[in-house]
This record gives sequence, structure tokens and C-alpha cells, in this order.
Amino acid sequence: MIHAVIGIISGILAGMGLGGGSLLIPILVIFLDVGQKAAQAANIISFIPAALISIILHNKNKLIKIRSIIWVAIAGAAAAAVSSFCAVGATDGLLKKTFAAFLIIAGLLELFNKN
Amino acid sequence: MKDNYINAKKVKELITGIVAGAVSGFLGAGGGVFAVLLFKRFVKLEPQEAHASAVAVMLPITVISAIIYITNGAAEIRLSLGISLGSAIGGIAAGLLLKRTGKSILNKLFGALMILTGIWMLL
Repeated sequence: MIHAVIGIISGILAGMGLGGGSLLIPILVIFLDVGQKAAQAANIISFIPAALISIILHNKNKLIKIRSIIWVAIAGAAAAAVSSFCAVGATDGLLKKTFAAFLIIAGLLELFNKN
Repeated sequence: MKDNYINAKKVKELITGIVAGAVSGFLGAGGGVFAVLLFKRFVKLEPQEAHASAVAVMLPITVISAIIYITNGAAEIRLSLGISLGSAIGGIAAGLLLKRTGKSILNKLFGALMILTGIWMLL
């Protein structure tokens, strides 16, 4: 039950373009004692239904430019396959430290982004 | 000249994909942040298009990652499904709520929160 409530909050943030996973993963790891890797998996899996719903809406609004995303998607899927295998083989400690560094960098980008 | 333009564009698109995919697969999050940024600065999409396109690109990336995490036993299925249920509801709520909120202020607050959380996790 608590997981669904946390999911709703992160889904709202994700749907508003505020980065749901950046919130979901630390909540799971810090407050619910979930391992870093399992928290990452939960975020990846829970993104899929939320993304499907918003892609349908965005596509209706003609916001998705298929021609400019097809190569991004192909390169992205290939890179994700490699880095997912790396993550599966890595320790929770290494993933947690890397994730923390990412949060600080992404936070700085948000703070100083002019848009 | 036109060929060079097309190739440069394709290289930028491939780099955008590699960065988003690599970050997302390894950290289980964050690919979208970089995808939005690169779509705006690099591929020169409008902000709204950049956001929508980032979500579209992140779908195949997360499907591949999910398959690899699950088949290698790195996922807790019940936890993941509970959160998926909530996040689908949250996604619909966001679509209905978000017309024109003060997004830039929210972004700044969220940025500060991310930095503090990152420092907390490092300590």
C-alpha cells in the first residue's frame, strides 16, 4: 500500500517533467531499506506504464517528432543494454555512490537551467 | 554540404541516445534529464517537443533495462508492481493537473532537493 502511495507521488512528478526517479529511488533506499539495485529496478519498471500513458497523450498533441527520435531511441536502447548488464553486476555501494553524484550534477543543472 | 549537415545531425542524435541509455541503464533513473537537455541544446527541439520526445525515447530504453534487471534477478517484483500501479495513477493525475503551473520555481526547488539528497546519500 505504501508502495502504491509513493508510486502516485513519483508518477505525478515524472508526468510533470520533474524527474520521478530522482525522488523515488532515494525514498526507497533511505526510508524503506530497499537495496539500491532493487530500487533502480522498481523505478525502471514503474516508468513503463506511466510513459505509455503520456506518450499516447503527447502523440495526440503532435509533440513527438518520430524522425528526430528514431536514431536516438536505437542508440539509447543499445547503450542501455550494455549499462544495465554493468549495473546488474555492480555492488549496491558503488551504484549508490554513483547515483548520489548524479543527483548532485542533475540538481545543479536544474538550478542553473535558464529555461 | 547537405550530406554533412545530415551526418552531423545523426551523430548528435546518436550521442543523445547513448548518453540517455547509458545513464538510465546504470543508475535506473536520470536518462530523461539528459535526454531533455540534449534534445533542447543539441538537436534544437522546442521545449515541449523535447519533453515529449524524451519520454518517447525513454520507453524502449527502460523496456530493455527492465528485461535485463528482471532476468538477472535484480528486481523485487512485488515492490515494482506496487509502485507501477501508483505511478500509472500519478501519471494520469499529472496529465490532468499540469496546464500551466509555475514550473520554473518547482524545477529550482527540486534541483535544490536533489543536491541535498545526493550529499546525504554520499555521507
